[in-house]
Amino acid sequence: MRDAGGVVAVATPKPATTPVPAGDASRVKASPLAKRIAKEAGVDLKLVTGSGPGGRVVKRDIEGTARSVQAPVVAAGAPPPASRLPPPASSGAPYEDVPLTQIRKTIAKRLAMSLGPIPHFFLTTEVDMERASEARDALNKQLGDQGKVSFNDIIIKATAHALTKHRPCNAWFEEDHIRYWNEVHIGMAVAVEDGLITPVIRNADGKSLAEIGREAKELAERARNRRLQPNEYTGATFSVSNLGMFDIDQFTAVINPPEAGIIAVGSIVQKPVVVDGALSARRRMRITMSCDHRVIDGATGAAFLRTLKQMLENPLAMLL
Amino acid sequence: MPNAFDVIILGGGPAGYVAAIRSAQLGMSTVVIEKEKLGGVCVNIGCIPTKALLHSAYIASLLREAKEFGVEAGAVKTDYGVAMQRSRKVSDQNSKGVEFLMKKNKVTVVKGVGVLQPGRKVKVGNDAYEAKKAVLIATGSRVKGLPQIGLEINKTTVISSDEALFLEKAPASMAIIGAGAVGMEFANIFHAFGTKVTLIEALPRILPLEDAEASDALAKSYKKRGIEVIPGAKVKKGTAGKDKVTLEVEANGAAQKIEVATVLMAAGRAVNTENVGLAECGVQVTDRGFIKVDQRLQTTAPGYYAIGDVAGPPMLAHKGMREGVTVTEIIAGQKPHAIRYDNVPSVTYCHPEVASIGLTEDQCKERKLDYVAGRFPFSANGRARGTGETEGFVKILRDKKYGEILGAHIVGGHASEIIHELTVARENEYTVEEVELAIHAHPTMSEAVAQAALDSLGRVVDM
Repeated sequence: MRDAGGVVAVATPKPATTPVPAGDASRVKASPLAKRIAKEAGVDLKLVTGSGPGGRVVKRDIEGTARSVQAPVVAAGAPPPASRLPPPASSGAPYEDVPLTQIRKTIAKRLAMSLGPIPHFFLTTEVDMERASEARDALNKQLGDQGKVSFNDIIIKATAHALTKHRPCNAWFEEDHIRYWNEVHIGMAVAVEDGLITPVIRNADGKSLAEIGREAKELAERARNRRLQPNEYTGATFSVSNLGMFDIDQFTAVINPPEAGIIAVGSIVQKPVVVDGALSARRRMRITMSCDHRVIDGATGAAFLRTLKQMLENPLAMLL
Repeated sequence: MPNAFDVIILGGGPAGYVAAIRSAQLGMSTVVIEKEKLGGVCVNIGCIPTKALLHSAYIASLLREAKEFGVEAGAVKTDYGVAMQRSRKVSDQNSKGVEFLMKKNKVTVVKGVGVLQPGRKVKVGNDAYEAKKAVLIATGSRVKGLPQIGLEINKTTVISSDEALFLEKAPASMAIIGAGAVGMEFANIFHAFGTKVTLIEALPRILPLEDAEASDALAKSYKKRGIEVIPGAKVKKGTAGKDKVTLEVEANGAAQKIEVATVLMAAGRAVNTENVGLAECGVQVTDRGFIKVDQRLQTTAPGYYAIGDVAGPPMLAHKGMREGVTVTEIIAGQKPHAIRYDNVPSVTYCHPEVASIGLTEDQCKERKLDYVAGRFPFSANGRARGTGETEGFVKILRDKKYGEILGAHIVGGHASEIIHELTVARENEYTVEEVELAIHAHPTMSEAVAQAALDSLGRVVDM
């Protein structure tokens, strides 16, 4: 102890209760500036490979990441195939080694995390899209040059609406609790160069089709230009992934945790269907819902899917 | 093969000799070929002797003001010849120091003019040397005149720093063309030794590469002490007579004739790329005359590397020294930290000194960066008041959102020393907050750095 004469007992800085051992994996070597940018952008520094001295994470390592990596979903919608990174030209060797980019690393980590610990199950239904198609044509005619409503917009709107009636499916599974959301924020998977990202249409249930259409278009465009703000691709309560434009009939999407569900939308195809005892050609679409069984049970998911199917088959039901 | 070395270095200036030492440390056999004295321009006719002369100038001005400090020095007499002789001793000591370092590190030194040959070979007179790993081109740069307007360096009335450093006495009057670091320093030196100095700069302000506030502070300081400063001036024509030079200068729309005993050319440097054998080896140069190098400092000819002034701007000894270290580590198969060319400090050793790192405020504006400027004047700094060095300021430009230090500018006593706190900060991506959090000793000039950081955060204490 120091000479007490005149020395006021000031609280000495407490040693950390659990000192971090050197070389602990949880410790991230990063510059103060990189730490600050990462914190603000919600980037996990552990996922970033440092290029600074001794592998330190520095600003340039974060910059690309902060703009493009977060909460990816396995499937992609609104694809811009031209902007995808092409595989390297063949050198004649049996294989080409390409280092993982940040977004690839994150996708790998997130998806492994998802299919690993999350008990998925899948429900598929086929939806008749005749009336939705008619409604879309009518709406687009009315809108004229003021925008276009896409099938994806209708699906997002119907999903959001159905979720308001099925709160058990609009939820997050967290460490020790389930968070049921009262708001509906739909994550919309968008393919971007070398990966994908899910910008969020907030409060989609309360937005008109035209609003959703405009917002979806704008978000997708900025996602492809890597101009999304972190708050624009985080916080979804449920996601929609659409591969219809790739002529995929049906697929399963991987849940984007902590969300409890995602629907995978296939292409709309004309099929022979028996309606009222007669064979007719109808436009049909398959939807597969992936559910986190820790949150959603079979019957719960099926009920939601039935509502969604009804809404798409009879778009007027959304007005109810 | 007696004349085979791992690494051959053409030029023993700061880039070359540092490369030689690092190369030897890494276990590579190394030879340096130098036609003059080791240490190059920097040690012999640049950085080092000018710093010696600037200190003589500083002592002269200090003694002139000594009475105010309670010290009577009587009439102050100056003798440029004596100061020059001292500066020569300093240079010679440094050059000998480099020679010693070569011996200590077992680097072979060959005196002579080296010419590159294909196949990683260098010819010196009749001797041929062969590099097993790499040839480093570190031939440096030299002063240049402006013969197109009649100002060819004649070494008597129209001189360069090469001659100015060997004058036996200070001329009665001198026009210095170019107010970059060299022009600024010589204006300071000769003025202190009694020369009537006119400083002419073509660009709108002196120290054109520094922050505008630094330029303004120096223009004010120079004018106050009687140095004539003419920025934005075009020298139309120079007529060199036997013991005088007449300059026709156009500035602010008005033409004037300036007659001086001596003109000192301090407007730029030319790189030494002639007669080196570059073309013969396939070493290409850029539009601006520098040797073209890639990120590994390799030229367009594999096995030939370029470092220092010949490899491109900034033409500063410390940038060349760093390249010398980096390139030899690359050649030795290591992966050195990439050189951050945006983090090379720039220093002018005039009084008050000017030191900077990173972007100027104008550059922040041009790049449309969202920035905040923090400032602290030395007039509010206790230590500066005590020593009478109240001229100048510290100015820090920080990114508004994250506090990244975009640039820092210091004008004042010891600015050349103080800047490194901010250089270290930038190299390690410390923000203004980390700079401010470090406790600065009181009273020091460096406290102004912490206060400027605080000012940028809107919570300056001492003002």
